[in-house]
Amino acid sequence: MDMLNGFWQALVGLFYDSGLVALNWKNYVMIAISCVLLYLAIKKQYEPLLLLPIAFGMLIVNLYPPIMAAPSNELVPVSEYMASHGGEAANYAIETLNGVDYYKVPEYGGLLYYLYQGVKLGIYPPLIFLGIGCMTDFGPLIANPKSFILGAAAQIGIFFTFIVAILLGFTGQEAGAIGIIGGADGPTAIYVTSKLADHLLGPIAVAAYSYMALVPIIQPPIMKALTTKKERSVVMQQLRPVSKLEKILFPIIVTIVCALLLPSAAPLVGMLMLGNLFKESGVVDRIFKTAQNELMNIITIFLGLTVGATATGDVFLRADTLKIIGLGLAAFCLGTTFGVFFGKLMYIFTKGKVNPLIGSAGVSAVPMAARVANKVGQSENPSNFLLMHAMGPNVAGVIGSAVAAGVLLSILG
Amino acid sequence: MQLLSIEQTTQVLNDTQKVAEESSGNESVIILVTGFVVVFMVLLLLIGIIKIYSGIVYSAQKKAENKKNKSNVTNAEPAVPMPSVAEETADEGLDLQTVAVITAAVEAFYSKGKKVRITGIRPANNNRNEWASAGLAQNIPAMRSEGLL
Repeated sequence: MDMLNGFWQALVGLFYDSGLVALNWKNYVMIAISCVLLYLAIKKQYEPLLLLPIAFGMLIVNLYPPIMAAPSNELVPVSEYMASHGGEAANYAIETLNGVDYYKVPEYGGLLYYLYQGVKLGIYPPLIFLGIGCMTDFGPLIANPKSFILGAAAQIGIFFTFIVAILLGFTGQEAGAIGIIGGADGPTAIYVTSKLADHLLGPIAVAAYSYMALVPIIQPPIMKALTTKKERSVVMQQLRPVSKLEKILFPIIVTIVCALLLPSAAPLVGMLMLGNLFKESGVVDRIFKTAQNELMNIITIFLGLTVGATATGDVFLRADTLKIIGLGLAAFCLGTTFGVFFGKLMYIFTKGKVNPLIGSAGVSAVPMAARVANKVGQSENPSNFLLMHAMGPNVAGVIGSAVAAGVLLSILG
Repeated sequence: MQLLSIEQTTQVLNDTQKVAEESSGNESVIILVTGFVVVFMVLLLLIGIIKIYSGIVYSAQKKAENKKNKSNVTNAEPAVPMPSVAEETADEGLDLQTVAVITAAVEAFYSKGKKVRITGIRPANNNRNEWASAGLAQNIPAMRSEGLL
């Protein structure tokens, strides 16, 4: 009978410890949302490399919230501790409350809490940029440096969205974190948000990566609305060949200039350029391969998983999340609009030599935005290959968004 | 110290909020303009620097290439006169432009990086008679438009 009672007590204890009792309705809603995101990542292939770990992080933290718990101290009465440890005292700190001595017994944090420190301390995004630099060819940008103007123009959307976010009631730092979605750069968005408003990391990361995946849907209507058929049909002159020496000097010069003028941009720009120098120097093949493959993959897993794990019900299911999603879309559209607008200005000033469509590639969704510009150009003129011309503004946008992030961190941080 | 009435306190709070909102609005515009200017200035500076160093590298490499070409020319053996393909084929009715096009096509497709020497150009054997060739020329576009080819 005692054994049956003990067995029954154990079952009851397990039931009350389970998620079925501990979770509330917000957790279940987030579990459903995470399943939708998993569907989008796997079936529709919306940026799966990051959306899948983000969605899974969201799923697991809402099933088992302590996985993200911070380390804490549990107060245990000294007498109770000694009784349960054969009368042996411990070396823990003692706190006296109402005349009773308590041991402060440390409790470790959850698995994802420790992995999340890489996000919180701003380590993972620069390492992702290291891998991106290894995979980027800045040749089209070096061959046509005017592409930097288009890369800069597309970042204007960040600052206009910042103002709108302020008007909607967000604080300056929250508005800066929301505005950076317009840079269309996932690591940059995560880096800035972790520094300025880390409580918004979940919604901002989900918004940023979702819109990056939706570039082929969001951009073409804006591009067609702002340009004429004649402008879209412009065939650009072939780019000049770029020498190896120019490609080696480029990352060194960009690092020196950006870090001197805007030190807060140094971690992102510096790591991007280091990765590119690994690639172009040709003398560090082993670490180039590691940075591009194994390191990038490991950091992607940790970053995605822990960013997703910040999306708990309390953080995500708020009216502010809808505002963030709307503002993120606005930032994206504004970035595309200003990029195309400056493309039209270049078309006018060069007397029709620049196709304005490449301006839309100034958002740093590499290489999707360049492909979209190429596709829209080919819909007017099938023999018009704009891809390499659009890659210039596209990679310039990566540098531009890092510089914009540096400005926001410098002013608001 | 003079105590304020409830109405006066409310008025002070409203005025403070208005000032805070205006100040926040002003700060937002300052951040917009600063961000816009700084991003453009940094990237314009990069454009200037890239153009300068690209120009320097290009002219230095051009000079080195010219030097190399000059030394190659002085060291080269006198060229052995080879029978001109153009002279041979011109007799068969092919103009020089056609010879150049055929030579370029052969080099592009078959040379695999090595130099080629065209020794002769002759028309391929075509066993089709003129009627068959005409039928083929007429039917292929029609089949393509119907999606059969």
